[in-house]
Amino acid sequence: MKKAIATIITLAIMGLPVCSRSEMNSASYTIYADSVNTGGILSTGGAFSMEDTIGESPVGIITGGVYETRGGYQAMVSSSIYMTISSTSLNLGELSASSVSAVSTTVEITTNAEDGYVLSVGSLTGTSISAVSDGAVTAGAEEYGLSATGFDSLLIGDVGIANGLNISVSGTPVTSASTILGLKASISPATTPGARSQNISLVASANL
Amino acid sequence: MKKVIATIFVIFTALACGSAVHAFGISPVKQYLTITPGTGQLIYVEVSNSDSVAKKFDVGILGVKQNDKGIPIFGEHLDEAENWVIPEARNVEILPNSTKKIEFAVSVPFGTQSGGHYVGLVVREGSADWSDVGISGELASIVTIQVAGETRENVSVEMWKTSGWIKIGRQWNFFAKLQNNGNIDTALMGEVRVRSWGENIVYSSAVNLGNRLLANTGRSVEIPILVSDDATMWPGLYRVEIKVQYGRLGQTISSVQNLIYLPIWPSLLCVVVFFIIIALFVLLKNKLSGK
Repeated sequence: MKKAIATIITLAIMGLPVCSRSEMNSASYTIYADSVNTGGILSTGGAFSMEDTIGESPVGIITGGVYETRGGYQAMVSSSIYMTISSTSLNLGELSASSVSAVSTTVEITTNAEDGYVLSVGSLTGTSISAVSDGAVTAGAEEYGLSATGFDSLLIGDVGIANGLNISVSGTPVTSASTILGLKASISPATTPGARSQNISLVASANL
Repeated sequence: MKKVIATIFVIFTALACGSAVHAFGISPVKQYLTITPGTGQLIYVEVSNSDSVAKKFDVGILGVKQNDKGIPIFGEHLDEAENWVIPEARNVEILPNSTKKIEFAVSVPFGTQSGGHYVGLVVREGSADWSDVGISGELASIVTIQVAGETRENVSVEMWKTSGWIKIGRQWNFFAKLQNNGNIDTALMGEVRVRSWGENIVYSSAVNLGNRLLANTGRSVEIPILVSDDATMWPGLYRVEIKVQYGRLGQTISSVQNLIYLPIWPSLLCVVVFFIIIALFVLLKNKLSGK
């Protein structure tokens, strides 16, 4: 009799709706938060799937391109992105008007995000000499620029460094995708003497 | 020669033990939230330190927008949602070969209009107390914050054109400019069709319009069209139509550009025939007036 009661209680507990926050995984996304309920349907399409929950449908009233979105939904693309910078100290040395000074470093990106990655200049502070504008830093002219070589590189020739400058992009997952960044500078006889310094931030993210 | 001392130092954040390799990672790469105004949610990222020494990271929030090629651009003061996201800490230290979870509180102010907002949860290698100028590496996890309420999907074709309205060959380059006038990001699917003046379809193909188009953002796309030699194309007027399907509700919008197809040999033949007719006409006239 006691065994039967214990069995019934166990079965009853297992059958009860459970309010929980749990993580659900799939090959391409993870829903790590859920509202309190027991039902829902899975709609698929595009780059990720949407989990609807009972009473919280994201599509309510539909009128000619207008619908109602309700709060409480979360989802994530559970991929990772890694960045490695080969050399963290670059010194262009003493510049002269007779030659172009150049240094380089390599940025490696690894990501399993299905949309790939983007590497850009995030922010730029400090002072420098004039930015290159003709595609090539040449001796005798006051010019400073960045070049990028690599399979995913977007830059052609030497370009001026600016906030938001897109350096390399890939539309697919990559492993150790390398972009060699080259910094070049040259001065003219009229360049004002003195030290210059610059702070450049490189930002990498998954592609939208 | 005037000795000019101009040194530009580009200094990357130095590692504690002098190693030149910096390796760190972030996950997840993208997150999506729907939040009711006046409420909040917690999200997180996991940051990994792949180096053999402990490293300090700065944590911040940047706004995200999209250029006309669909590539994300990060920066400050790009989206009001930057003010809605607060990290649990602005600086974290991660032990070697370890991962740390960093939480962010997302609070949408009451009364915020519905729509999509985009921010990046940024982890920057290095110390907040930099005394040197330098270059740092940052990794960002993109967060789409959809403020609950009325969601409007509205994409327009701002431009659909080609250079020159007379085409001699069968290879044409068209340029499309789209604009997302709605308040939510949307996927795009496109199709191009070429119809003759008799409404015969001589070319039809799906076209790639790029990745998701963020709200209040434009997209420029170059679309090459190559009409197969197998397709019969008589000289004359043709209509090139682009049809764009977008959004969760599958709405479509289209635009048409007319052009005239004048292939070389038939055109030359027409010119020759024209001059022959003129010549015959002149000869006949002279003959008649000579009588």
